[in-house]
Amino acid sequence: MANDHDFDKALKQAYQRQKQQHGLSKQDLEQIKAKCRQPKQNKFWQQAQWAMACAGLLFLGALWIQPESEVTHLYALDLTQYDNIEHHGKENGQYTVHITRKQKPQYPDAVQTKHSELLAQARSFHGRIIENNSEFLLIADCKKNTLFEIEKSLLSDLSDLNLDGQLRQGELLALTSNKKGLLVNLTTLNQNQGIYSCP
Amino acid sequence: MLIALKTWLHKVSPSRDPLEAYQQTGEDVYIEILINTYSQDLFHFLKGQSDGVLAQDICQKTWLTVVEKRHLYRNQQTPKAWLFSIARNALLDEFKKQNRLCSLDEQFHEAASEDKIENKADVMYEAIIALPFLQREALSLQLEGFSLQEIATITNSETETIKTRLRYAKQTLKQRLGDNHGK
Repeated sequence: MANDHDFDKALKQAYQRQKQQHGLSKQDLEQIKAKCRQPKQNKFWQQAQWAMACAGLLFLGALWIQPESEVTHLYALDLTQYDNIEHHGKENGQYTVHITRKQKPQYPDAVQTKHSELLAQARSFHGRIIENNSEFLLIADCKKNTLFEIEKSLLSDLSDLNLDGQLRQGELLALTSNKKGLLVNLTTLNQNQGIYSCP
Repeated sequence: MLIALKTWLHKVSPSRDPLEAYQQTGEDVYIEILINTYSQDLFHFLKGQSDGVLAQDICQKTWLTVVEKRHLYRNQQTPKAWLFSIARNALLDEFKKQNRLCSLDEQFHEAASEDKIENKADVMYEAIIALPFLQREALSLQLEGFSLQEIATITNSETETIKTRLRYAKQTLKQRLGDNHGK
């Protein structure tokens, strides 16, 4: 070799020539690329699975700690707030009403008189379902003075409503009673009807 | 439309380090650019230090390591130097597994082919391949275009050590090829 520079140049040429002759095929390169893409896809699925598992846990957690629904809370039964409790049921196949009056320290006579007057006339009024269980339906009248406890057996005589599916807590009902204070009809009110005052 | 064009230009801009871009975005397009750009160099270097099958295996491992550990890349290094560092470490690990690391300095490459080598360049390459491992490694890296400092970083050695290895490698080659190439 004439000098180091030429020698280095010749080495480089020899090296590059071999590289060009014995390189990786296009297929090999594609295979490498495919393998490099693969772990990322797995990672995506891993992350997706983690995300779904976390979402599931959060959902279960939310169900677990969720307080009673707002509706349940809003219309929870509180016997102390009613002046009268009317139990409508059947005894020996006959419709009977039992009325329990709360003893109030002030104006007891006025309240009793008022309620007696109401019972003495046929009327239509609105009420809201407070509870619906297997035995009876609890309805508060719209002024929240009277709580109606209506046995399910009687209810099926008064109305053709679907007692299990249709009557939910908080739902408004239209009730009609006769001069004896016995309920004669009971129907649901459409939400869009908008009840602003008691009839 | 303009934003899309700008993004596309930014992606394909040759001035942008694709490894840095891959580190930041993780998009497949960048790893594919890197594979297209450096795989042949990497494979050839590895093949010179081992054999075709092992070289291909290590080459693949190197790219998978890049995918996995791209966050470790620091752009003070060139992407090529970083890739070669990973490849060299993977190769040495493989040698350890195969108990071939005990005498790196004494390790010689087996002749790739028993066919009669007539071409002058091929003879020269066979002479490079016949060098001891560390000399061959230093020379191969220099022929790949790395500076002395980069070779020292890739091989975890001192620059002076690399200079010595290169000097010995070239002396040996000149002795072996001297007469033939002097003609």
